Amino acid sequence: MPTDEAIIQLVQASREREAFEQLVPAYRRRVFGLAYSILRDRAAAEDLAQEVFVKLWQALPRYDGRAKLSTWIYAITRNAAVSALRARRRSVSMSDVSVLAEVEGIAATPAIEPEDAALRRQVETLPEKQRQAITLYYLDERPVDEVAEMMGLPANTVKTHLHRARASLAAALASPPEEFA
Amino acid sequence: MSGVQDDLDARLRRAFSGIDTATGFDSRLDARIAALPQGLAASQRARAERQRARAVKLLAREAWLNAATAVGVGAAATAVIWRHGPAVACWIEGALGAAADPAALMAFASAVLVAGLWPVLKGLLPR
Repeated sequence: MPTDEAIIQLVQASREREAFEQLVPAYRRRVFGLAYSILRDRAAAEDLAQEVFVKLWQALPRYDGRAKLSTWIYAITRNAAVSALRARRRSVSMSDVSVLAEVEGIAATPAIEPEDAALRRQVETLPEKQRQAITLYYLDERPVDEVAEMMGLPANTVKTHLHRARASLAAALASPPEEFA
Repeated sequence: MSGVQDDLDARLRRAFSGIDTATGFDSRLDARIAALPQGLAASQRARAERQRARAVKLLAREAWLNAATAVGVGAAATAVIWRHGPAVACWIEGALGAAADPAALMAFASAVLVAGLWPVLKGLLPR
């Protein structure tokens, strides 16, 4: 896996094409994961990841190395995802979005056990930041520091979100509604 | 409690496994990049370099102007002292004498204070 330093060196040498070819595999999962954690819909997250990489390709010549490469990429992804979410909310009512995200997102996951699907639905009921932290943490088993960088929050705040989310989910598992049983 | 947490961890990992981009993501991205106008990256790089060069040029011009102003003021002061040394000495002596007067000193200090606070005072004045 290419390092950020190697990618930055290629950009600074005006070899954007090579830099981009290394950047896509290095960041594809992370950009997609961050988009998914915000949009809660696999197909929409994939479309957004494509948009983000096109933006990165266009912006790469202007990248001056002042911000960390990963921080720069996560900021572009977060902004694009939040804009996409706002646009979607304008066209569909909030309740419809939740239902759509739930149905599309979970149904699109291959071969998921019914009890795991129920757990995912339980995750969907968590407050936004807790849900996002849980998704990013478990999607690729990323360290808390990286989840914090992706969310643009301090690591301790993310730890708190994770702790509260796990407590809520554990409580739901301890007293399961019918679907957990 | 740890058992519950371990179980929850395992179930969450399972619940989120398999969520990934569809196959062909990279080839679709390549196609989109290829469809972009040719030379876009090059033109953006050129524009960024032009902006950087313009900023460097502006800073250099400002530095030269500041240096020229300082040299000009210094040269003018030297010339005045050279040509009218006794008159300048007399004027400085008068100014120092005035500074020794408490009322004049207070007036000067007040003027400096008002000048310093002028940006704030201006904001308080009715428009």
